[in-house]
Amino acid sequence: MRGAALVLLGITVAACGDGGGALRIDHATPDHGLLVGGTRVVLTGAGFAADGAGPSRVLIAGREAPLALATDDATLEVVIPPGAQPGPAEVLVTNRHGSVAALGVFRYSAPPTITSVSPADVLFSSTSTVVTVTGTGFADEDAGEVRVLVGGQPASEVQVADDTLLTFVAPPGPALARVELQVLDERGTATRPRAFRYVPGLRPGLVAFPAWTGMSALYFDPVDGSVVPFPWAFTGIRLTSLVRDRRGDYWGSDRQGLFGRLDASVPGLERPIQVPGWFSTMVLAEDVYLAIERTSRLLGRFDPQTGAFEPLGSTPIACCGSYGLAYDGKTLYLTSRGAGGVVIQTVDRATGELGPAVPLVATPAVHIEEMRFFRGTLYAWSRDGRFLSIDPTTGATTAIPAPIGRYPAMEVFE
Amino acid sequence: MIRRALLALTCAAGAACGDSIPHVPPLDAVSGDRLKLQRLRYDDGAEQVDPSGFYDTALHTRCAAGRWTDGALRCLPVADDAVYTDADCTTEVGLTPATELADPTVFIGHDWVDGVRIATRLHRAGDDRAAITEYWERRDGACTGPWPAPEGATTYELAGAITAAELVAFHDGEAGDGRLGLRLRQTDDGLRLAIELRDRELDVACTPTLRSDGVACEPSTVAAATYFDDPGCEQPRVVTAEPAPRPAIARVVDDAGCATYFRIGPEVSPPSYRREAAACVRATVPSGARSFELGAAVELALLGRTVEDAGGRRLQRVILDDAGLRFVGDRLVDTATRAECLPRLIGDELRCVPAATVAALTLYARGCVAPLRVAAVPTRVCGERPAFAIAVTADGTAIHAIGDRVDGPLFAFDGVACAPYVAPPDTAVHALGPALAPETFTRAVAFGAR
Repeated sequence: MRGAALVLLGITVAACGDGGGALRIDHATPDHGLLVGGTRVVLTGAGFAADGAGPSRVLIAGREAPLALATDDATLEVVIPPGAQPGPAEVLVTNRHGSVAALGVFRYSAPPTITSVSPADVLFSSTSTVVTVTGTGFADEDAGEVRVLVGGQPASEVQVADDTLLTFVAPPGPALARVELQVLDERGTATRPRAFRYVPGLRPGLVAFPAWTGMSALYFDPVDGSVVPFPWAFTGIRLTSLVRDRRGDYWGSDRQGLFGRLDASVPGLERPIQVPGWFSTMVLAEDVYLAIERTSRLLGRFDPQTGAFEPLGSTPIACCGSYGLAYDGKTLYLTSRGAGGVVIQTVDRATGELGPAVPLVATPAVHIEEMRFFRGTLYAWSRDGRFLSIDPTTGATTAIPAPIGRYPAMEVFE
Repeated sequence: MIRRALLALTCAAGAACGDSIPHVPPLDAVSGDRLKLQRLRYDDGAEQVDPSGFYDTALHTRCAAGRWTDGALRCLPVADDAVYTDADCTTEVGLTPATELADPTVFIGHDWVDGVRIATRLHRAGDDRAAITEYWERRDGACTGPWPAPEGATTYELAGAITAAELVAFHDGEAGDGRLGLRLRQTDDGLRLAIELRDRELDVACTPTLRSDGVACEPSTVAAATYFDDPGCEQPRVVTAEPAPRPAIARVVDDAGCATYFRIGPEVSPPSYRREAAACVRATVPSGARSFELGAAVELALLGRTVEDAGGRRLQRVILDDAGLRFVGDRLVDTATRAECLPRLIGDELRCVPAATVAALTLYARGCVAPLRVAAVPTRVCGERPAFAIAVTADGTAIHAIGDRVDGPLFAFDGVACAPYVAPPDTAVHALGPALAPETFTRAVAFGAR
C-alpha cells in the first residue's frame, strides 16, 4: 500500500466560474504524517498553480492544513494539521479550479505500541540488564529519537533495531516493583503498566519485611544460604503479614487493618481495603486465604477482594503474642505461644480444628511471628530476631545465619 | 463534514476572484533623491519597507530619524564613536570596534549631560592612524578621563565636521481627509514614509488591527481596565499608578477576546475589585493610585482591507483604506498560511513568519524527565488564531505547527524542582509538531539603494 498512488475519490466543484486546469491529487510524499500534525508533506498532482489557480487550501480528515503552498502546478507543499486518529485520511484540495478529494494517498501514523517485554524479572540492583521490547512504531514513519522511561525514569543505551524491536539497559529500581514502561518518540507514546518486575534475587527464595520502617527488607536464598538486604522505604506502613497470590503479586496487611497489594513502585499499599481487626499472619492454601485475626484470636478465611473475614469455629487460639501459619501443599500448620511455651500444630483447613501441639525445641526467647515452607523446609522468623528452620513433626529448630531483626511478614519469593 | 468544509473552502478560496482592486495606486513609501529607503526583498519577489532606517547617499552612511542639536528631526548617521585624545578635550579621533566592518565614513561624538549620553558632533572619517589606548570625554562640561580604549579598535583621523545643515531634515505631514490621518515622514528630496495612523476624532495614534469584525484602528496608548467598581466584578474601572497622568482611553477585553474602548470617566474612590481565578476579590491598589470610572464607549474607526493579488507571489501586500485614503499596510499576507506575516530572524536569515504566534514551551510528564513540546495557546482570540509556535533555544529559533490540546497533568522544571504546570488564564496547552524546516517560510534579504 505504501507509496501507492491510488485516488479512490475525486470530485470537482466549479468555483468562481473559472475554467482552469483539472485539479488532481496523485500521491503524497511522504504518504504518512504524525498524529500531532506539523509535518511537511508534498502532494503531487495537477491544477495547483497554473491558469489562475490561486492559493490552495487543504483539508486532511476534515481539518484545515495550517500551510499549503503550490510550488508549481503539479506540486503542493502542505504542513499537515493534527489528526484525530491514526490510519487513512481523506485529503481535499480546493482552489479556484474547484476541489478534489483523495483517499488512500495519505495516512496518519499510529503511535508506538508495546506487545512484549523481556525479561519479566530484573535484579533490582543491576545496572546492566538489557531489556528487549517488541512492538511497533519504534523507527519508521519519522519516529525520530526514541526514549524509554522505566517507572518514570529514563533508561540508558536505548538501541532501536527496527520498527518492531528495541533494547535498553534498565536502571536500578525498587525490589518487588512492577514498573510501568513508556516508549516515547515523535509518533507518540506507548505505555505498558507492570511491564516487568524488579526482583531482590534471581532465584526463588524467601522475602521478609521488617516491623519498622527504616530497616531493609531481606531476601534469603536457600540454595546458598545468602541473605541480601534490599531497600524498603515505605513510611507509615507497619506490615504484620504478607501473602503471595497465584499471579505472584504480594499482598500485605498492616497494624491498622489495611490490606492491599504491595508494589514498591507505589507508595504504601495499593488501593487498600479495611479488614476487621488486623491480621497477624496470613497464608494461601489451595486458593483459600486464611488468617488469624489478632483481636479475636480467631482463625478464618478472608476474601482479598472485600476484606470479609469468616472465622473457622469460635474458639480463640491460645493467648498471646504472635502467630505463624504455613502450608506445605497438604497440611496447614500453626505456631502459637501459650502458657507452656511455643508449639506447632496442624490445623484442619475446613473446620479450624487444631491437631496435637508439638512444643518447639528452642530457647525460651523464640516466639514465631511468621513461617513458610520452601521446598519442603519450614522457615520461620522469631520475634527475638532470629531466623530458623523448624521440623514440624518433632518441633526441632535450627538457627540460620541472618541479620538479627524483627521480620513479622515473610513469604516465598519466586 | 468534509462536504460542508468543502463548500466553505470553495467560497473562501475563491474570495479573491471577486475582488476588484481599484486602479488608483495606494499611497506607498518612496525614496528621495538623496535619502533612500531600505527594503526587504523576499524570494518570491515581494518587497517590504524596513522603517527602521535609511541610507544617506551623500554622506554614504546608514541613518535614522533623531533630534539633532539644532532641535530639528534629521537623519542622523548610524556611526561609530568620535572620542577625545587629550585631557583638554580638544582633539578627536574616530574609533571603530574590531567587530565592525572597515571603511567608516562618519563618526559621531557624544557628551554626557546629567547622566544622559547625547550626540553632539559629527565628523567625516579620515585615514586610519596609530591606535590610541585611552581617551577622554566631556561630562557636564568637564573633560574626564582617561578611559581605556576598546581592545582591537581601529583608530581614524577625522576629516572635518558635518554641520546640521548637511543632514537631511524630516518634516512630518499627514495624509487623508477622513477620520484617520496617515502621518508621513517626508524630506525635501522626495522621500516619503508612512509612520503611523492617527484617529483625529479620539486624538490618539492608532494601529490597524485585524479582528473578527474587520480591521479596526485600535488606540496605541490606552489604560487597561482590569479593576472593577463593584464586588461582582461587573463594572470595569481603570486604576493608574501615581504619577501617571490621567489616561484618555480605556481598554476592556470582552469574553470573545476582542477589545472594546471607552473614554475615561470621573475619578472615583476606592475600594476597587479584581478577578482572581473565578473569584471577585477586593483589590489592594498601590498607595497614591488613581481610579477612574469608564465613560462613554468609543466607536473605533474601521478600515477597508484588500489583499493584493500580484500573480505568482506567495506574499501579498495589504492595502488599507479610509475615506478615500488608500495606503500600503506594514504587513504582508502569506497566502500559504492565509495569515499576516512579519520578518523575523530564523537561524541567520530573515523570513516572513506568521504575525500571530505563541511561544513554545518545554514541559514534562510527571517526574520532569520526559520533555514535551507544547505551547499555551489563548482560548479567546479576536483576530487571527495562532497556528504556529516559536521556540527559542540555545540551538536557535524554530517554528512548530500547533497541534491539539493536551489533556492530563503537565509539569514544569525550574532547574531545581519539578512542579505541576498551571497554564496562564484563558490559555490551553497544545502539543506541537516537529520543528519545520526554515525554508517553509519565505526568506528575505535586506537591500536598498546606495
